[in-house]
Amino acid sequence: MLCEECQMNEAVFTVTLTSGDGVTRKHLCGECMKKWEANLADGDIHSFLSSILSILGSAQKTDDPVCSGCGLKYSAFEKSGRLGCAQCYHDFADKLTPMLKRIHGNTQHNGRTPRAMQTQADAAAQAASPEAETPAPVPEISPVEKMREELRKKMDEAVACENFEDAAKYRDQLKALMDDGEVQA
Amino acid sequence: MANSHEIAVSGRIRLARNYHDLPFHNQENAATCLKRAYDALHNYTEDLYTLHILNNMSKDERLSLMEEHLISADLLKNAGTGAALIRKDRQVSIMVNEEDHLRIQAIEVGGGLEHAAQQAFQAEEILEKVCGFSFDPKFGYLTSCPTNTGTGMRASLMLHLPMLTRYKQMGNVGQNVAKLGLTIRGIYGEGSEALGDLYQVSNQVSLGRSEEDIIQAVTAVGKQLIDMESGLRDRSMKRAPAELKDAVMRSYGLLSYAITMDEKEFMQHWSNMRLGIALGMVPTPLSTSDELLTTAQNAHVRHFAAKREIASAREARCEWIRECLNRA
Ligand SMILES: [Zn+2]
Ligand SMILES: [Zn+2]
Repeated sequence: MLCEECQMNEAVFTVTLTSGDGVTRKHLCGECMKKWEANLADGDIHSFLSSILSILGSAQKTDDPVCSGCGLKYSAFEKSGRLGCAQCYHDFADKLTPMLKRIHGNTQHNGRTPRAMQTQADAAAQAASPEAETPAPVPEISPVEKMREELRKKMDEAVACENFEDAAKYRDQLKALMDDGEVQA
Repeated sequence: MANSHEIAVSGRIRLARNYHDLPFHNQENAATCLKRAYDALHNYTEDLYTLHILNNMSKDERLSLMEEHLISADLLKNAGTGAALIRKDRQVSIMVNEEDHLRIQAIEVGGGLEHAAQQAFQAEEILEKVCGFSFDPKFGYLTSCPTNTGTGMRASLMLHLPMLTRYKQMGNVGQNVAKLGLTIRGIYGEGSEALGDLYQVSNQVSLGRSEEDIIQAVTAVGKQLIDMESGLRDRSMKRAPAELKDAVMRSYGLLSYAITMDEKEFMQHWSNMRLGIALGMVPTPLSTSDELLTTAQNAHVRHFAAKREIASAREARCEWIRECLNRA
């Protein structure tokens, strides 16, 4: 199972805590166990307490939501880049939606639906107006003839900004395309 | 103008899918996922797929599958629970317990992405029969990493671009491609290296665009890169045919007669040879050069060395290359 502290590594230690309410067992990975022990050894009573509190699950930071489906903390997702379950998408929606927008430029799915849901989805699509964002235009990159023109423009811009290092780079690239010359193997 | 398969080596469609009733991949659900995938392919395809459990394989057996692009480096990292179901013609492979429960992948020689997509969706339909996939009307197919959310699809083309590389145009190309929600990177080698002048162009965006749009975009950009590369090839053939031919034939000579060669050197000469084949200078079929791209890699030649009792993998590589070139 995963470490209950960081939700990232395999848990290899079991910590038993005795408190007023009885006995609680927590499963930790090597790293978190080490941190925990270091806090104890340092006599750092403050972090010792806070680590106990967080282990007991009663000291959740307000800006670090926890998924109700799998118990993953948002901060653990930020570290690993991996979500824990489908419910994460809903419980972290406030933070995930802007992130999805940054990655994809879009937040509304516009592709296939599972076969089992297709009839259902068709009916829904007819009932509601489609809220899909417009897809990006069909891409076009400069063909061979335009390559030189573009390089020349970039070189002029670089010179205008007195960015001579870049200008020299573009000049070399341009030269490689202009030379009637040799092919270096 | 060159035929597109002289530049496009292969096309690949990859779908990321997770079972709807389980958390994303973890140690506890790994066995369930494998059982479901195996049952589906076993019961509905009359054993068209072969099961490969990484834990039961040697390191080189695993690496060989990776050299064939049938499994990923991430699956190797999860070797404890990872498995692959590979269709007997080796065009479709399903990775189980990689970053997602399932990664369905179809490869098409020469690059036809539409046909590859058909194959991938056919496999998806079979897998879905046992248990449905995690899907949300807003976010689409839900994946462990938000970079795959939506279609869960990555469409990619493997392109051989020696002239664009030689004329130092890949930096430009990369910038242009990025503006379009696509990405291009070297396939072999570390960092910014692109051994063999091989590049993969693929979609970066998976949410908000349909599968057809994604395939169309990657195909369109691939076609333009093919046109650019092919234009530079024509230009060099007109202006400096002797220099070009010299580079090609020197590499072909080394591949034909060298006694030992490491992977990096092989990739360099392989690229020149493949260019020479496309330009009609070297009498080897394109299919032989593309077969070598897989079978002359490290794990494959180590296997060959053991089989033939050849002292080193580097010697075995040369022996194997010679056999392939002479066979043609
Ligand atoms: Zn931990
Ligand atoms: Zn979750």
